[in-house]
Amino acid sequence: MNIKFLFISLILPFALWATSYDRYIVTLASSPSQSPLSIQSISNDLHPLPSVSKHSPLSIQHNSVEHAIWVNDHNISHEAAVSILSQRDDIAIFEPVYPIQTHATFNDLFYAEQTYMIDFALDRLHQLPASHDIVVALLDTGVDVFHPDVADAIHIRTEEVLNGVDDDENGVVDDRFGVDFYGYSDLDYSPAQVPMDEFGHGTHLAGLLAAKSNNGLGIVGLNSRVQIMNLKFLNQYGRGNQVDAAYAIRYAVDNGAHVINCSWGFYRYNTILRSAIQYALDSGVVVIAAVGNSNIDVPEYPSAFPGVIAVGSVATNRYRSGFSSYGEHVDFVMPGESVFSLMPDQKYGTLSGTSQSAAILSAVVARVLSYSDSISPAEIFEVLRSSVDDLDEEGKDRYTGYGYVNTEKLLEVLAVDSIETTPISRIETQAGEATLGQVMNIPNPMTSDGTHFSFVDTQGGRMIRIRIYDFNGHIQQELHQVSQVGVNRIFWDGRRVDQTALSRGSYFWVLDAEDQTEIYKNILVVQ
Amino acid sequence: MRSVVYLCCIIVSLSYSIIALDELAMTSVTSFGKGFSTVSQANGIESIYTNPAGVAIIDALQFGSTYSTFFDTLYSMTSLSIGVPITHSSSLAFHLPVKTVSDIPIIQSVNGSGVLAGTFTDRYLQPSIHLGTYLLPELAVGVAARYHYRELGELTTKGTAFDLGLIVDAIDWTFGATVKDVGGTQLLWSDDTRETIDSELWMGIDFAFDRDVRLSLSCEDVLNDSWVHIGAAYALSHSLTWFMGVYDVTQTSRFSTGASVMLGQMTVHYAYALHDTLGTIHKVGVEYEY
Repeated sequence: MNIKFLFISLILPFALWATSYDRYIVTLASSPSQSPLSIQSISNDLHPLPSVSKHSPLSIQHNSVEHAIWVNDHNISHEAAVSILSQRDDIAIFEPVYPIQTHATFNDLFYAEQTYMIDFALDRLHQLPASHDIVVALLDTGVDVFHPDVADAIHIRTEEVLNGVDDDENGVVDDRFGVDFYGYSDLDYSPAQVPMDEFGHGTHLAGLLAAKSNNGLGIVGLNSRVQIMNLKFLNQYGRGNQVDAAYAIRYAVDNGAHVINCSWGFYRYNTILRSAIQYALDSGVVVIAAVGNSNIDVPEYPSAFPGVIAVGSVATNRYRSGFSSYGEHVDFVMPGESVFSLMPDQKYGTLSGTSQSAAILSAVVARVLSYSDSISPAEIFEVLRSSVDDLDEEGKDRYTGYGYVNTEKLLEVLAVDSIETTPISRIETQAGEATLGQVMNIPNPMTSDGTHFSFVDTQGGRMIRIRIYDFNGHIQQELHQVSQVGVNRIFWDGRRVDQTALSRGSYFWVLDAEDQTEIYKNILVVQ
Repeated sequence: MRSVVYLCCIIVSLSYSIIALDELAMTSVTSFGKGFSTVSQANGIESIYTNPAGVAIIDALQFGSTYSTFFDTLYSMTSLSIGVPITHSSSLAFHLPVKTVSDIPIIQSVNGSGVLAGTFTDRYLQPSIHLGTYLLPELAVGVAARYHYRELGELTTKGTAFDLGLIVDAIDWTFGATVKDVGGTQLLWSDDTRETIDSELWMGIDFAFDRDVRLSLSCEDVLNDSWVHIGAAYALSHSLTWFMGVYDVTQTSRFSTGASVMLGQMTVHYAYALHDTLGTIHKVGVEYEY
């Protein structure tokens, strides 16, 4: 076996968290006696397999120094690559091609209100590369799943339609936008088809977790790769019971949640809740719970269950929040005072509590899981513990646990070079492009009162045109309206240009914007 | 004269852009391609769409089938038809078209937001029977009875319609006329509401300039609206015919085109048009004659 290959084989398992770069620029040593720079020879050194792919050498001449680009197709760690190539005399410099990013910040309208983002450097969380989406089950009061700042982050079971039938055969009817478990244990259980938030708590947490950033709207969510599984079991007063919660937890586990956020609790627990939590932990799901807002040394459940990550609140001055409960079970504290986020009905507002702290930590954990598949729930805890700023007494204490998770330390622990960041500015540019979405007419079929053409515009201030055609392609009506940022509604009374009513049947309607080539075709029905 | 027709075809081709045809689904492939100008043409089972007198020409068992997609497959239509001679001067034709618009979203308002509550289908069946007969060697007349059946979600409607037609053949030219939905067709919905389809009068002439070139004109009149359709066909060879048409000569932008290929006893038709906003329309038809 090639000794270098053996070396790399030994290094790679330990380098999973180590830094690796997509491409390197290689500079030839100036000595004329050296052989010409060869990408093939570099590739052979780094990976002896004959199938290794490589970038064509640039062989550019610049200031009498030859350069070439080597593409790290096999994700070899930076340390391993440097270790091997340092033994070659013909290579003078071997360095990563660093990305460049503009110093743009978020363009979300209320970003300045999110003081916790800067105070706790939570904006750095966006610099942790994310490879895939993570499903966070939000067991709470429901979520305003149509809030324009979070609608795209709702975990939707696309095979399920709201028709009273279990279309995707997962045992739950109409769970397209989540499940309403409130009253599940009651005989007269009558769930809402869409578990909307009538209290505001769940929507607020959803915004912290996953509000869309750089869309010109509202706030910056902590994790753009979170899908929120909306599991409502608390009513419009924020009340529910542990049996319903237990069913919701089991649903979350069985339907693919990676993280379960429990921003609620009680001083006693039902066995069914404990077994559900254990079921989640045994299934490899990370469970995060708030410790409570009573400022007392009495454990609440599920935060006090073993294996559950218990989160308290910390103020900007790094002292425990006055309302944050405490005890031996507290693991971490996260910001929880005057936290600005979403509220139902397209609104925004400020709330305080360990609920917010737990949601923020859930977003952090989801981001870490999205960064690496290889990190187990047990390792997650160690990663968090290694990333804290210790508060109060040294080590773990009963008021602030291990401390608060410092995102900058988290990046260091995960060996994410600060310069190799997710290029937020480029994402901003793409995500910030004016787009139309969620195009529909409400209701459909339209009633005798007419229908509303509804859509979301991320830019606003554009002339929107809606044209209605019959099935022969003859135009029936044309409507215009200048859009606003967010959700827009254009009412149509169902009449043609000549004010005659449409006859029964199906019609097409087309929506487009003055500066957009893409059009949206839909079918509306007159019954 | 032939060169004049070619010139007209070229001019019309250059004006190509959109089409917005009435009764898009309920027309034959060649009639669609010729801008709906074929009311005066006796085209066998293809005449079931345009003029019931045209089925009189059927002198052998014929089968036909068409498939159409509209506006980038927003909806589709399929049809089956059979034509059979019953005497030396009379023929019968049967037709079953099915138009289907599936996956129409049902959107409900929940707390002011739209929620997808399911989907449903708009399906339209229109089985019909057509009788055409030659009263004189140059005069054919026809009658058709059509049964309307439509499902619109949970609602259904039914009704029966009648069409009349005639075609006069004078060697180099033909004249045709048809009245569709004679007296107006009453449709009764399952919720007891009624709807009326107004009568339509169609008249047209068809010229054969020579063996290879034909020009057709039709006038359609419905209530206070009227349209003049024009179409042309050019036989590129014994088995290949190219055709084109304009739905309304006052709006030369409404253009369609297509071709027919004869392969032994089988003929394949294709026609195409483009709607500037809604997208493309394709129609394909196959006929087989024993």
